Parts: sequence; C-alpha cells; structure tokens
Amino acid sequence: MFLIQGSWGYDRMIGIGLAFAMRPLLPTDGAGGVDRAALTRSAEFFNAHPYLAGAAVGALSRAEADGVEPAEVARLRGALSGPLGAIGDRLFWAGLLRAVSGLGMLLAVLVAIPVGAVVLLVAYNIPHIAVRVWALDVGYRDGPLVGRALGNPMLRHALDWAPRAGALAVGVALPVVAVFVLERFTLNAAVGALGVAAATAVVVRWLAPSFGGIRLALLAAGITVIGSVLWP
Amino acid sequence: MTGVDAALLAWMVVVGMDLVSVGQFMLSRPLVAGLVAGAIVGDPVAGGTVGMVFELFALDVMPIGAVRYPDYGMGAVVAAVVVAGAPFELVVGVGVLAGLVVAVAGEIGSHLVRRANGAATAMVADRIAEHGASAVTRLHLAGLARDGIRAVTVGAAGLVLARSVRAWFGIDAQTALLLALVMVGCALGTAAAGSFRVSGTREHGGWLVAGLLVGVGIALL
Repeated sequence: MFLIQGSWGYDRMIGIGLAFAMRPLLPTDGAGGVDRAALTRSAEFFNAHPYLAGAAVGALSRAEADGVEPAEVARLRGALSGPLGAIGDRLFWAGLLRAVSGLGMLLAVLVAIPVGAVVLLVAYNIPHIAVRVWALDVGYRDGPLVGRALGNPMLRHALDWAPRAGALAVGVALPVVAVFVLERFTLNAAVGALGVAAATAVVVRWLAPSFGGIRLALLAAGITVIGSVLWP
Repeated sequence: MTGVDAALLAWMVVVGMDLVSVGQFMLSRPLVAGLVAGAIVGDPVAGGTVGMVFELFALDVMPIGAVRYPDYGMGAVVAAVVVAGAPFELVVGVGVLAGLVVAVAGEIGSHLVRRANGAATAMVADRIAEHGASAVTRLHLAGLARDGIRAVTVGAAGLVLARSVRAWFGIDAQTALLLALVMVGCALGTAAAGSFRVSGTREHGGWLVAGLLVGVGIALL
C-alpha cells in the first residue's frame, strides 16, 4: 500500500498501483494464479487520495472475491474514486499537512529546529499510517458497502477540523518564521524583503496557478543577478 | 565521491522518492530534508533554517490529482549544502536560488516519469490478461525504478550544482545580500499567497486571520 503511487501515469493515474496492491487479495484461477480477468479490471484508470486508496483496494478485492458482477465492480470503482480523493485532499493536503507544517516551523523557531522536524514527522505519520490501515481494513470488511464507513462520525469531525487546524497553524507560523529569518538582516533590508513579499503575494495570488511563486522567484533572481552585472 | 557526498546523494534519493512514489512519509518536507542534509555536512542549523525558507515556498502546493509541483525537498538539500558553514545572510540567496533550480528540475523529472509510466502501460496493457500478475508487477516496479533514476539523476546534478555554486561566494556582498532579500521575500510572499488560496476561503479564512494575529503577537514578544 505504501508503494501505490509507484507507477503513477497521466492516463491511468494509480490504476496499475491499485492492481499491484490488490494482487494478494484477488481470487485465484484454476491454476493457482491470480484471476486475470479481475486483475485486468483492477488495472484500469483509478484516481483517489493515496492514503485512502486502501479502502478501494479492500472493497474492490472483496467484491471480486465474492463474485460480484464485473459491471457492478466497475460501478463501485467509479463511485469510490471521487469521494476517496476529495476526503483525502481535504483531510491531509488542506488540513493535517498544513497543520503539522505550521506547527513544525513554529517549534523549530521557538524551541529548536530538530524538535520542529521531529514533531512534524510524528504528528503527521501517526494519523497517516492509522488512516491507511483503517481504510484497507474497512474496505475489505465492508466490501461494496464501504461507502457507509466514509460517513464515520470521527472522520466527519476530522474533515471539519483538519482544514481549520491547518489554517490556524500556518497563520501563527508565518509571522514568527518571517521575524526569525529577517532578524538576521538590517532593519532597512528586512523592510525591503517585506516589500518583495507583499509584491510576490499579490502577483502569485493574481497569476496562480499558471505562474506560481517559484517561477516568480527565479525570474526575480535572474533580474537581480543580471542587474548587478550590468549596473555594479 | 566522498562519504559525505554519498550520504547526501542517498538522502536525496530518499527525499525524492518519498515525494510521490514511496510512502509519502513527509521525509521530503523541506524542513526535514534541509535539517538532515545540514547535519550530514556539519551545519544542521543552517540546513534547517534554509529548509524553513523552502517550507514557505511549499505552502503554495496542493498536490491534488495530476498537479505538477516542484520537488522542494531536494531543493532544500541542495540549498543546505550551499549555505553550510557560511554567513547565512550572504549565502542564503545563492543557496535558495540553486535549490529552486533543482526543485524545478525535480518537477520536470516527475513529469517525464509520469509520461514514461503512461507509455509503458499503454504498451503492456493489452497483455495484462495474457501475462497476469507478472505484467502488473513488472509495470509497477519499472515505474518505481524510473522514479529512483529521476531521484539519482536530479540528486547528483543538484550536488554538482551545489558544489559549483559555492564558488559564487566570490560575488560582491551587495549583490549577495540583494539576492538573499529577494529570495526570502519571494518565499514569504509565496507562503502568504498559498495560504490565502488554500485556507483563506469563507469557511476557514477566519482561522487563518486568527492565526496570523496570534503569530504577530508571538513575533512581537
């Protein structure tokens, strides 16, 4: 399950990874190998959040093992893709990851950098691994009825609170990190950097996602270096 | 190749593969990647600090669906190598610039790996029914190998760049300082824009603003 995105491609996304993860759970054919028709179906297009994809691995494997009609398996596959992606994106990418990133930076500044890094890793990976295990378990246990598990009150609660925690933690961390980095410079230089920051925020907010912060930073660095060479 | 370079390259492969294909345990978060790289080259504080600058850039990323995003973890490693043991305010600009170039190289590499995975799948897809599990296993392991090759290639090139860039320390202090301010300013601005884009919605914007107020209070103390 931890390698499910190993063969990520634009056409099938994690489809091949899903089939790779499902191999041990799929029914066998007469010769003792994996049922090839089921395996072929498993390798079709699939997209979901990687941490919650285990629910699909479990549910689809269970459906195949129970002899559910291929058309029903395909329907289940299609029905799981969107919700598993949306829940994972909200829970982890918009929520937990931003929360631990903010918390990690905050602790790195206020306590010690290694403390911040360790807290980031531990605070992220305990729920991360727990969700992976839960998803696979509940998927295989509930099979085609796995959708009911996604209405779990604890998960609903987490979906509400994770993005709030992410927003709050990042909000607290930003000014603290800004002061931590800028206090190494003179006051005038720090004010100049804040001016660059304000201009960057406006431009990136305006042009994103086609022209993100990294492109602007590289452009600004190029202009700075060339300007310094031309007008020393 | 010295032992330090070998350790750095090994760490870059771990960081590069953690980004998407293996685990996503967040070893590739710039704060972690930069700190460990800094420890390898003997300056964990500088590595962690420059990692934090990359962590700010990374707040602009929402890795959903087929979105392509820079490999900020590998970038932080390269930046940590550049800034280690040197006056931070004079080298952070050059270090971050080198790291951003590597981050973009990692992003392009990921795009090529995804395309190669798609092409390989298209060639073999019809034969999955014929060859069974071995075809799926080969496809999947080949995808992992491609990402490993990407990580090794970008990592090695990044280390060569980092070592070469240290020669840039000869640039005049004024340019170095200006570059530092531009890079740090861009990181802060990117983090602010990314945070408002992701969290500044009607639903969560209040939490972000509350956090900012608390953060300003802590910073003033």
